[in-house]
Amino acid sequence: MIKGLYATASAMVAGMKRQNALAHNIANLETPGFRQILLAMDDWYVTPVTHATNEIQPGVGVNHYYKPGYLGLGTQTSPEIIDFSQGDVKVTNEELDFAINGSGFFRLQTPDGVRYSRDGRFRRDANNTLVNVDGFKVLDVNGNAITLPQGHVRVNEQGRIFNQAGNQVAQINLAVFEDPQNQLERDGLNTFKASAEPTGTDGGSIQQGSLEMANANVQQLMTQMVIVNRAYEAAQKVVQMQDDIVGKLINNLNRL
Amino acid sequence: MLPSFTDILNISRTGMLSRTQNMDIISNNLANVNTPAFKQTRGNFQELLENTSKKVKGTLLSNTQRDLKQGDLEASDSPYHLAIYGEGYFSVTLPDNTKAYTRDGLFQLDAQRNIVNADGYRLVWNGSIPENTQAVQINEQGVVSVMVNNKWRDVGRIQLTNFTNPLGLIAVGDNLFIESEASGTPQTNNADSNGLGKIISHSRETSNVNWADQVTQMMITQRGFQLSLRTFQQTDTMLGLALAMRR
Repeated sequence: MIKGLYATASAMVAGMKRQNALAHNIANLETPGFRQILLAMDDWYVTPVTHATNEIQPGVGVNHYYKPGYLGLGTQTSPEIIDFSQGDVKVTNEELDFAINGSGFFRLQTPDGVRYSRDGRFRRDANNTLVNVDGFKVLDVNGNAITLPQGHVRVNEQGRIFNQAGNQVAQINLAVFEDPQNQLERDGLNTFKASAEPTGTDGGSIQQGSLEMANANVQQLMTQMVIVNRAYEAAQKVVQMQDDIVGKLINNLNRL
Repeated sequence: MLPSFTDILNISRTGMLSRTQNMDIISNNLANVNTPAFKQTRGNFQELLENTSKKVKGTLLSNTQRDLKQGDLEASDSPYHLAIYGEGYFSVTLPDNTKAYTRDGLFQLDAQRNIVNADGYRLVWNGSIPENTQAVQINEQGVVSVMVNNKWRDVGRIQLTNFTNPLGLIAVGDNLFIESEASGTPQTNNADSNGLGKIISHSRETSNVNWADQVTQMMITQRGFQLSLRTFQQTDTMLGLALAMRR
């Protein structure tokens, strides 16, 4: 009915979605390996703007509708995008903290199947198995769980694990996706579920004693939040104006 | 799926809650900067999603992790002040006769000539200190020698215990730990063998709390809290605007 009212209302809805993603990114600023959510805004459907005329145009006849152009019907958030860019690396000097420099993912065995993560907070469980911070087994290049030797271990850039005597005992697998944007889906506890097999090569290097931090950036998040809030406020004002105009129409027109 | 304002406010709430919990952990680390053999702990934040719908729900402090790095050794005047240089734990007997494990080696002799820790719990070792002991020596392998009537003799040995996953030990306060399913079973051996550390008499292991690191963590945590609080307020402003739409 009132195109403008719907259009501005759609802007308010989009504002809420963006605020939701921003709040989640901010809450996870200190979650190692966290990949932030990006929400882009898309134009929505457009509708032709028409108004009736009864002009006679030569060679055309009566032109009932005059079409000056198109009118946008509002905005919407485009589907959620995961930002897979590299986060900062923080040195922790913990033996079983690992950071990936590159595009690879650690492979984890969870009760629901294999999941992928950039979170390298690992530890040893009571059976010497290498597990992540939530107890999921970290998989090696052959897809098996990794049993650590007793004592200290050294892990090189290729993910090869060496015992104290310097012998290789296993190699951490790095999964690489051709198109992570379309093949990976957020699955909770910092993991991603894949819809395709990781077929890529060269996942980058592994750095022992370090963690990759979240790739969200405080300045950017705060700026975005101000923009979202102002846009929301503007949309709200426009809704009120539209309402005023309709009100005036209803109340004043019959006095003419 | 459209989030509600309550959902968004709740995300910021999880952000504030986990920062508050992390602040407790940091405070505990800083409070124990002078506790012998204390190991600093870090909080592990984790991303939180709703189980089935996979809606974003913020963050949670999923667990804590002790930093097992060696603390510095400090000289002390008592032969019963023992530090472990390397891995392992002393075992002590609790009043209910179960065993607890500690790296805090500030032991002393009680009136019955038992070697006890600061809380009076007895050190587990296979020997006893005879009457009229003039001097005591404990070597790096844990062998206890005493001087009686101006003659030295060995009276027993202090062994050390380790676990497959010492991170899985449960802290029960007083610098004591007990075994758990996650730690694996205790394996007791002579000091300076089987990957266990040396026992250094006349020493104490200081806490491994890294002051600068903890203060930095505190600042980051405080800023994280502020950011989540700010988001909470901004969301509330948006909610107010929505409510004020109809004047």
